[in-house]
Amino acid sequence: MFLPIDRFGAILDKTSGVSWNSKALEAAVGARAAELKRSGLAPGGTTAITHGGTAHFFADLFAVWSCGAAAACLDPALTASERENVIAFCKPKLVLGEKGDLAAKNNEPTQRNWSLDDAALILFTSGTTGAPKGVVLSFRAILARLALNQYEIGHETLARALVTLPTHFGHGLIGNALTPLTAGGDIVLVPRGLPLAQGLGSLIDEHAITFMSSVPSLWQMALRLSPQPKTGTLKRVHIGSAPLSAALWSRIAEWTGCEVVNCYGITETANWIGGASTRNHAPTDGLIGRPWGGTAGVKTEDGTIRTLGAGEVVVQTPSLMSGYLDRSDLTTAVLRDGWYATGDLGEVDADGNMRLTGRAKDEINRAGFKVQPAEIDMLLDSHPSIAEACVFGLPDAASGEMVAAAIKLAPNASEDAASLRDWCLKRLRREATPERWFFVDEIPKTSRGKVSRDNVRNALIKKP
Amino acid sequence: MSAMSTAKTLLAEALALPEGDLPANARIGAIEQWDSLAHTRILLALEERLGAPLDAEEAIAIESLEDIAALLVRRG
Repeated sequence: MFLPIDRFGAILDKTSGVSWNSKALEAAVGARAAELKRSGLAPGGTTAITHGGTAHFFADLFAVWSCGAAAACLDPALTASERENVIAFCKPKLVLGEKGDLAAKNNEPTQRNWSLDDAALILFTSGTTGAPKGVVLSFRAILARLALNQYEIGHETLARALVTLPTHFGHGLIGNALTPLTAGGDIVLVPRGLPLAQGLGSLIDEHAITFMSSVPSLWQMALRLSPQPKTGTLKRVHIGSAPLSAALWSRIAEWTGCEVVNCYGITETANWIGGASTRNHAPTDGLIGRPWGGTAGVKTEDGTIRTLGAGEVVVQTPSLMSGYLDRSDLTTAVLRDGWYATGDLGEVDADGNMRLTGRAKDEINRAGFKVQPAEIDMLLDSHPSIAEACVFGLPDAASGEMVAAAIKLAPNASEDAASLRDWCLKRLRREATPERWFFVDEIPKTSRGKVSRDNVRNALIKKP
Repeated sequence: MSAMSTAKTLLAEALALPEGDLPANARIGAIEQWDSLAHTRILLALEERLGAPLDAEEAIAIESLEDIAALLVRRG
């Protein structure tokens, strides 16, 4: 794909200390793309990028796209076994690591014409065990999303963006970073976690930040730990990936002094597909406004799709994924007649405004990062001392939900929470590792003998 | 209950650790579980216990088990 990098903004990478204006970025991408082409990368090929969050990550990504190939952006925090599992599944031609590492994995020729509908990005939302769930987004989907985001937000507002999120998931990569960068805005990459929360106000002032996006949990911290910005540069703040309460929404608007938008986005739709702004709406629990391009509706109990009423939220959007990589079973379950079934419950009013009210899918949302409990069940079931495991989300004021596990130990097993956690951390990325462990004699079952995560959670929460 | 034992209970709950595993000199950076989310959990638990929001200076000063106990004494 041709990338007009000379019109992109600059990248200020405060993590590695590398800063590139568009000229320097263009040179870095050109050099890397030449190297990838020499290694045989061509349209139809996939490259795994195993690092992230730096200027060099963006050079690698744009170099892969310049070759017309797909980039599978892996969470750098994956354990070695998780990384091997995901790489074995997506069969990349090349694997790009930190410090310019490049490993050729297979040499099958992939020479053919490039098309806008070719895969551009593969983002994984699972990967510990079994066949992972990799969302495939085409170049067309990403271009559509970037254009719609830029139209909605405005180029002036995107002049200088603070990137507060990792680059291996849609919200961080497409929304927070590529939307401003490809609009000609500069992006500032900063270390995350507590230092970001403590220094947020001064980072905004120091870098004259006009736009940023984040998850609610960052704001839970920043509002308590950071003084407000003083220079008034901030024009617009997005919040997404996890439910935002009306109370927190109002406090963020007060702290930032600018427009605050509660966004709705999913990896499967290349991030934001809509949002509700304090410019037009009073903060309301679950309110996510109208779609930015496309149509939102609800699937009612009888299976019909309506643009008014309550049910499972379904969307038709130009930025929809092509499907899950080599998982047609998963794809057909969520895509029908051009509608994507989000797994979220909500309602649409007469003005087309959406409000989310709950969730139908089996997923844990830990501070915006999605965890698939079934794959952790499978991992735990492989532990010799575990007879049965059920992983579920536990409500938590700091992260929205924390990952919890109910464990039935095998007879005479002597494991405890600490030893199981250590065992998991060798095999499972930290954010998916259970933080709360409940040891039970039996995992509660439904009358049909099935495990319901809701039942397990309810049974365990009631105990003191 | 002394402020220190209350602080220990609060911190152990926020870090999902048995109280017995918490060293007396527990502090952020020295315990793997004490990450930014756990830190928020600590601040929220303190606010709930005190029945009022922490001001920025108080929140920033929380870095260790001792700091939590000291705050409970001051505001207790």
